[in-house]
Amino acid sequence: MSQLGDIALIARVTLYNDTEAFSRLVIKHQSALRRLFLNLTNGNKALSDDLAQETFIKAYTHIRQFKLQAKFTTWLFSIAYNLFYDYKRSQKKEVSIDSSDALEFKTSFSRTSTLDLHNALKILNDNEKICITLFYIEDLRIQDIAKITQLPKGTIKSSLSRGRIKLADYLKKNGYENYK
Amino acid sequence: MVMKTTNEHLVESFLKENKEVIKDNGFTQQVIYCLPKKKPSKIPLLIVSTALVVFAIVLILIINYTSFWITPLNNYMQTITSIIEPFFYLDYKTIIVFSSLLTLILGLDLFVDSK
Repeated sequence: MSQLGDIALIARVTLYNDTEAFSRLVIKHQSALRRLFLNLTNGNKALSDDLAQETFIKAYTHIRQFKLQAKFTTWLFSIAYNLFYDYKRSQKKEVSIDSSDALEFKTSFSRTSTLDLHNALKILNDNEKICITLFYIEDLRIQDIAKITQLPKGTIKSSLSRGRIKLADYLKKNGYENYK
Repeated sequence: MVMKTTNEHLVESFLKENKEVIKDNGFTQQVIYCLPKKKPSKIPLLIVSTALVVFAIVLILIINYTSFWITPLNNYMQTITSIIEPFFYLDYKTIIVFSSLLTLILGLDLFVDSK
């Protein structure tokens, strides 16, 4: 039903460039998209809002390329994923955090502060972060993540597995089990 | 049924617990404000034109090959005019296209009549 609603709005945007219909699409999907960017940028609100805005503008200008077989969310997230990697490339700063160093840093940091999602996600590399976020937070299936990232399913599964181990280790070391 | 490991449970519950719903707070307005201006799509015009041409052809066939042949030119003109009248506001190109089409159709009709 939700997908049908999206399709009707997309049809209005495609045929009539109806900005009112597009604004309804933005209202519906802004939270998920901004949350995705917040998680990918380690909680940088201004940057994630800029990237989300750019994603919506790109979606609007390329809306005729949307294929009805896909979900609008999947298509939107694939634009977001490409934009994020373009942004990373343009920065030319490879912040490849070595997971063991990060874990050590986080352990000492987090003992004195509450557990924070963005701090926890910092210990993951970009692939692990996007796979974990899309799978656990956005509830997407592995085949949808594969469409978004253009990565093989096997790579996604191993990224999920590695990310899960790192995160679980981080949570245990920070006493998350005891909070529950 | 897939058994979830302790790690999976731990990670899943932590991430679900921290899943936040982000309020719009003017974000949508900002996006709409920044959208590039697009030229109006020609697709609706194409659909209407095609439908009218098909309709006109069907009408010609009906008028010429059925027994309801009473002042065909007047009926035909009235029908076509009533159909295309609402679309005349579109732009001058549309009017020229439809006028040309109408002339062509009328010419064809007269040609068939003379035979």
